[in-house]
Amino acid sequence: MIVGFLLYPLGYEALLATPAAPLAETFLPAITFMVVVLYMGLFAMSFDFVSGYTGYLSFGHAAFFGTGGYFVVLAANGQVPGIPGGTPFMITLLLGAVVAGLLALVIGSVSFRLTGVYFAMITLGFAQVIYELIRSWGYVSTNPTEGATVSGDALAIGVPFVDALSLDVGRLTGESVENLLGLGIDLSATVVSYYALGIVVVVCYFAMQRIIHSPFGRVMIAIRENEERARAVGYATYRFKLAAFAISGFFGAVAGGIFAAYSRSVAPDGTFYFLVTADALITTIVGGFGTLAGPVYGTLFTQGLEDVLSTESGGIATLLREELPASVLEADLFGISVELFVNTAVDGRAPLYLGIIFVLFVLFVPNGILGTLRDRLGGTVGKRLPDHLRRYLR
Amino acid sequence: MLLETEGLTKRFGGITAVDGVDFALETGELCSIIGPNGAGKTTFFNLLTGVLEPSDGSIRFAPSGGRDAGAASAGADGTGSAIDITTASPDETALAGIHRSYQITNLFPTLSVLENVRVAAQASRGNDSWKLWRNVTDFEDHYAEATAILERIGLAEEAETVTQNLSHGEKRSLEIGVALAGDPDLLLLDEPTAGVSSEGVDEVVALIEDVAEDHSVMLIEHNMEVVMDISDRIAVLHRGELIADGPPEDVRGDEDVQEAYLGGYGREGSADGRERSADEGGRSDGDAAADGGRRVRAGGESR
Repeated sequence: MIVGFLLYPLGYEALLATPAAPLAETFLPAITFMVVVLYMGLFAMSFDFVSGYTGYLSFGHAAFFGTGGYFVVLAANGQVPGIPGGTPFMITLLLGAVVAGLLALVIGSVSFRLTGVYFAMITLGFAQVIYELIRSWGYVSTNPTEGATVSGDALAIGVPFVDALSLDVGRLTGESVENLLGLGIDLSATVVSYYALGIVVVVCYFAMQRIIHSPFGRVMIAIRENEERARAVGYATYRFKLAAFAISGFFGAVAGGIFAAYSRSVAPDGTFYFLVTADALITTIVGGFGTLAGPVYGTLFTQGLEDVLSTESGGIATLLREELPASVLEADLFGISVELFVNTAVDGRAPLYLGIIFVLFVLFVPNGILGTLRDRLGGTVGKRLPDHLRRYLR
Repeated sequence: MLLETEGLTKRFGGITAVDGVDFALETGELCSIIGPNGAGKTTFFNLLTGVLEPSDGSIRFAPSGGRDAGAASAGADGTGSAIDITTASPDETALAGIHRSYQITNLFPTLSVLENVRVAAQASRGNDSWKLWRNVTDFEDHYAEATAILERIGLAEEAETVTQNLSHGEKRSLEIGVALAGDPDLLLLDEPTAGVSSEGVDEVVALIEDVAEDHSVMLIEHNMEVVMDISDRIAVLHRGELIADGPPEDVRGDEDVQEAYLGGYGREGSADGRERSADEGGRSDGDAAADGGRRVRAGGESR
């Protein structure tokens, strides 16, 4: 997974220079989509951290994503009291995450008095209340329904106050690197952002992974499996759930923060809105509930699908339009031409197919991509794969 | 005195499931609680463990001074360190030293057998559970204790088995194992032989006797042979009231008990049939309500 993350942009760029370029452009997600995979993957992981491991569905998770995003943008504009405008992004990112963790404690202290679907509903309610507040909070910007934009310099990921160890991120404002370490590799601004965001995501992944494998993580799993018994053996489950929720909110806000740094703007609909949570829910189910890494694969899957079906960078529709002979394109299909069919049924129709695939996943692959893989292998992929490979190589 | 209740009462709406029970247990005793279904036995356990809050009355618990120091040294002067657990939550009573097994198997179904016991052992090690940054496999003492318990309950070979794949009898043993992992001063066993085949019962009974060697035990049990055989003392609940309390031979001879429950056990040779019918007749809503209505009739398949 990590190796794939490191090599993907280089491989992708290399493929574009070969004759296979049209196919690569069509079926491999572009780097801009991979950046989305990174921050949405991290957000989905943070959702899975609490939902998949304690069994409490955090339907208001967008509140933490939004808190992280807005905090970063407002802090960059010097609008957060006590934080001067030029404070390094890494510090504001951390502060925003802590704020979201505290928010999670507040929301959780009320919500964890309920269980099951009632918990999901009340967290959703909290998030929607915050969404409405943010939409009409004039302090954020002159037009709060449209959100806020970073007005100053690009935000940098790296070691604060050390310019050489920091990388500016953003699709347009990011740094590009020429002749990396004298290896003759040039990296575009998007690719640099990809790596910079990726480092944050990988660090967060390992941190959550570590917590899952700690005694605390085992208590979370015990709560998911049988909360009544977990209490009966002596766990004050309320406190454990609250702590897990706060940690989850923390990492959800980190995801929101790096999203804001990359896009340089935040809007209520892209952060606090409940469909942001739904994205995380869908990718988590596709990737595998309670697997932590699964949601990243789920996001990769859904974003890959979106890339293939959109025309933003290659995509099936473009490929078909360019490669099919005119006679086929003009041929009649149920009363419309094939070209019109491609335009209406393929181009930008990712949500439709995603919906169908989601239903199929729920019906036939309920454990998700990674969950099913682990079931088949009888353990985590990292542990079991070497054995299986050895068996095939013999 | 290890445990003492005074006027313990629990009402569910109009039903009084437990009615003014004064009960006391000495350290080291094995006391069986018997009575027809709906008599309030499980509700009584739920009150002791804090699952339910009493409507009235109080519960005092006097665990052996320094826990882990040696259960045997506790006893006469226990009243000094007695704590009031009347309104304690389930986790608080567990940490105080009361652990229970359930009438309906209530384990962590998708975890391994070892992990079921290990996570219970971890609970009694206070701060270990809050060490977010340590790998769980570093805590060798958790695994050592869990393995020792698995050996004791005869499931050492199944350590890596996923719990839901165990046989029913093995699950019943694991129920006791998970309760043991909390290093209890008082062990509450709720029908440990429920649904176990007649051959399996002997194994579970042997395990109970073994556990009773070094623990104080309260046992809810319907199998009269087992109860008469292994109990130091028997308490009889009937419609929430404690109608008899004493050594097995006294309780067996008690007229009220005969009337309410035993159906002639000890007077005639085989009383099983009548006992069962008394069971069914006496079943009211008390226990069902206490268990959230998902109670499965224990042992009902033998009717």
